Amino acid sequence: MWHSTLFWIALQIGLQLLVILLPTRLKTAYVLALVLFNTIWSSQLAFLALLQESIAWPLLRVPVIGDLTLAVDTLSGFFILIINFTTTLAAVYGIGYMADQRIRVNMNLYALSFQSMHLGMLLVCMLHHFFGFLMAWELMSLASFFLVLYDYEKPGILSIAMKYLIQMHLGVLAILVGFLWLYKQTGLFEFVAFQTYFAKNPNLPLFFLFFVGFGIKAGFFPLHTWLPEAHPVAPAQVSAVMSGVMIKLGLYGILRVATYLQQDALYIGIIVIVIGMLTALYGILNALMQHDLKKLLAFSSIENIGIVGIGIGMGLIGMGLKDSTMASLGFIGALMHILNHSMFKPLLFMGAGSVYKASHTRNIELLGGLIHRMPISATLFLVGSIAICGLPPLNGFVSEFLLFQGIFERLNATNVSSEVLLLITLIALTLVGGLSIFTFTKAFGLTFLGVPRSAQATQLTPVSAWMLAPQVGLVIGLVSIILLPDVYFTFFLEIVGNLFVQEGYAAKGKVFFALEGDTYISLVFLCIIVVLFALRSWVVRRFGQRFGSTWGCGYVAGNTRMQYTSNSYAHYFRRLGKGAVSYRETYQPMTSLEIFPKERSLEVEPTDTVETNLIQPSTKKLSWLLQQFAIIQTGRTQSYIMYAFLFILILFLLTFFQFI
Amino acid sequence: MVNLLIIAFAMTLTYSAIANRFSSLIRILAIQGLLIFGVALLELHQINLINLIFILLETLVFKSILVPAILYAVITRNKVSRDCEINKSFFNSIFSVIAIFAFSFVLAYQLHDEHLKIIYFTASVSAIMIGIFLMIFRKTIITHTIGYIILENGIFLFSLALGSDMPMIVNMGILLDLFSTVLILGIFVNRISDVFNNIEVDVLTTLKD
Repeated sequence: MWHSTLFWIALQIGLQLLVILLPTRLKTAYVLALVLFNTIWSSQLAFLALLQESIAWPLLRVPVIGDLTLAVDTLSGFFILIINFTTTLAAVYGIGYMADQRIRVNMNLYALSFQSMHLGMLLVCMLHHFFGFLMAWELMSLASFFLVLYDYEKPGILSIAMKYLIQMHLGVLAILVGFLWLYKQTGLFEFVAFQTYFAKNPNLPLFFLFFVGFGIKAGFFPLHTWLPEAHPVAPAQVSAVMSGVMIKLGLYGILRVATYLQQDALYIGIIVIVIGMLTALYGILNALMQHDLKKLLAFSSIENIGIVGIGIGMGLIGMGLKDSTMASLGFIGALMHILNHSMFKPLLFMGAGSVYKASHTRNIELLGGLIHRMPISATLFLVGSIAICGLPPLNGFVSEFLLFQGIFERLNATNVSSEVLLLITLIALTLVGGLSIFTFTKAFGLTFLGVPRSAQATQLTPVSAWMLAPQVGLVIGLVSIILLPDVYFTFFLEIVGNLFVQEGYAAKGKVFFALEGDTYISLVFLCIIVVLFALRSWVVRRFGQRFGSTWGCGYVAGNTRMQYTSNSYAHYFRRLGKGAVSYRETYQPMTSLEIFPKERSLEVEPTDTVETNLIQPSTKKLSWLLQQFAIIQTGRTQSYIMYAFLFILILFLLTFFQFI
Repeated sequence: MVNLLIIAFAMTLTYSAIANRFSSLIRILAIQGLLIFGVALLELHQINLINLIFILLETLVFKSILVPAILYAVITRNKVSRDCEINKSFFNSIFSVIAIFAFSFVLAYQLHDEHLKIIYFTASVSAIMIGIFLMIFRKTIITHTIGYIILENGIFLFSLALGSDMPMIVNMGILLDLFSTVLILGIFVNRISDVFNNIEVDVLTTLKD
């Protein structure tokens, strides 16, 4: 066992490093090959875990901290599969996206980091030992840090990456404190310690600590500020992986801790559902404001994390109330949404990456009319948009519908007075759904429809097939959820039944009922579409069809500036949502003395409220405090020798006078 | 006899605090090497060939001949002759050294250890502290190295103060230290003076962020 483990580790390291020796243009292909290799063995473990029973494979015996065991259960298996699916496709996309990158060092860094990120994510799901878990977590965070840093020569990237690194480590700190506390209380380094601890102690404080730690990774509301900055600056396939699966691992952590909960589930659930709602609303409100396409998608990721949070919260409330239907629907909804989001968000990020690659800008204000020049990308983006808005018949609808179903079940079951929270959740979910349609009509409409707003949107470089194929793969994934929902649901029931709700199978009927409703609604929706389309073609045939320029409307002097801009599209909304959304407006109002008005410009830059009102002031205070210690940093070697000497002297004197 | 040698050692220490020509500092090093050789030879309990060779090599060859010679080569090559800017006045330097001696004496008497030879202890602790003193209050990197070597001499004496032969491995460690110090110094001084036309460590602050 020892030898095989060491061999395995050596093999991994060797394979990872081999990429350095390859010529630059083969590196991305090698990344794909290695990702595929890791995908194959890990997926095999995951399938085994999902189909039969959990697997545990002793990996290493480390002195002091004990055995590191590679363990895969159903929950890990599920996460491993989504990691593999998305990462493999992202690696394929990377071949196209990185094709014009020729700087050897950068490519090495990219290749090594991408491979390690994949491995790190897999190991996070497989290691149930505190230290192993933390190491894998670190590997994942550091690798993604380097990927965020990929374009380091551009201004501002370094500070964004550092912010990401620091916030990740604040999260690690919370997790580490939690682990050490558990060890102190139980003497165990394994995840089993949770069970022992939760059985005897109040569950809420420790869960909350881990919620903060994992929540930073996941991007829950006040902890999200790294996310909308770090995601846009990375290469598209990296954004896709980070947004599609890596932030889900924060949710994995939360779910994993939640599996061991013994009491207080109701209160924890209420907290989680409230935070989830805030996250979803905040995310979508801010997404609407953005004019950077990838930043918009990043905020939308926050929204989706919030929706998953609502699902987890519902599940926990269901557990607390011993309502297996609600718990199952909540958890299955959450897992389903994780799965969905791991498909449509990478799809959208890849679409945004293609747009960026073709036009060299991410600014929606400069785009427009791209559907005529890149129809395939546009169609794929549209599919992703429909899915993410939760519209039938695509898969986003399935998960959100499950959550609605869960709430309605509960509202039916008891007196309404005690379920105010669920009513609020219902409203919030509805609002979020509506706003996400608003957001994605903006994202799709302004980017792909209309006429080009700048020269950048007309001079497009073609997008390679390597970049389109993985998107098609993701669409196939999306559609498979619609076509084969039973398969997925059986797995989800398995997971939820194993880990959370022992009576999960009791709720099977309800869940499948929800599923049927879902299919039914999708069918109706499809019918409506078909009818509308038929009507359209009938009208066209009956009255003939005329072609004119977009936004023509009879204006002879129509120009591109008559279109909606990203800013004006969200204009009224920006006023309505003041407080939740913030922005910097630079405009000089006209004075009465100005007889001949000069040319003016209005610039609106969306900002993150939490960032400007919470993070920045506190960082400023902290750095002021730390600045006070700058006095001792003279930069002279002599001073440092003196400090060392004084330190030794003080230690010596202390021991001499027996203080220590 | 031994006491005389150690007192001479202490005197060289005092002189090193006010010497500001590199050549005199290097001569001090050479003399210290000789003195230490004498002390070690007299303190040797049994004449063991390997031990003898080792001490001979370390004190006589390295400390009093080789290292001073290399340092001398460095200063002639770089055409520097003195630590022109002593931060302290002569009076303050002498005063500090005397304070260090006094402190070491008080410390030695306070320790009440029967194995401890007070005169060795005082001289060695003083040497260590004066070495650090040189590093802290002088500016050129050559003086820093010399301070470091004085510090090493102090450690050598210290081990004798504990009344036993030096373990071979400690000896080797000290040798390695010396070697690397001088080597680094050679490279460093040539580099610094190439880049800055100056060998003061203060110019290194321009390198900081």
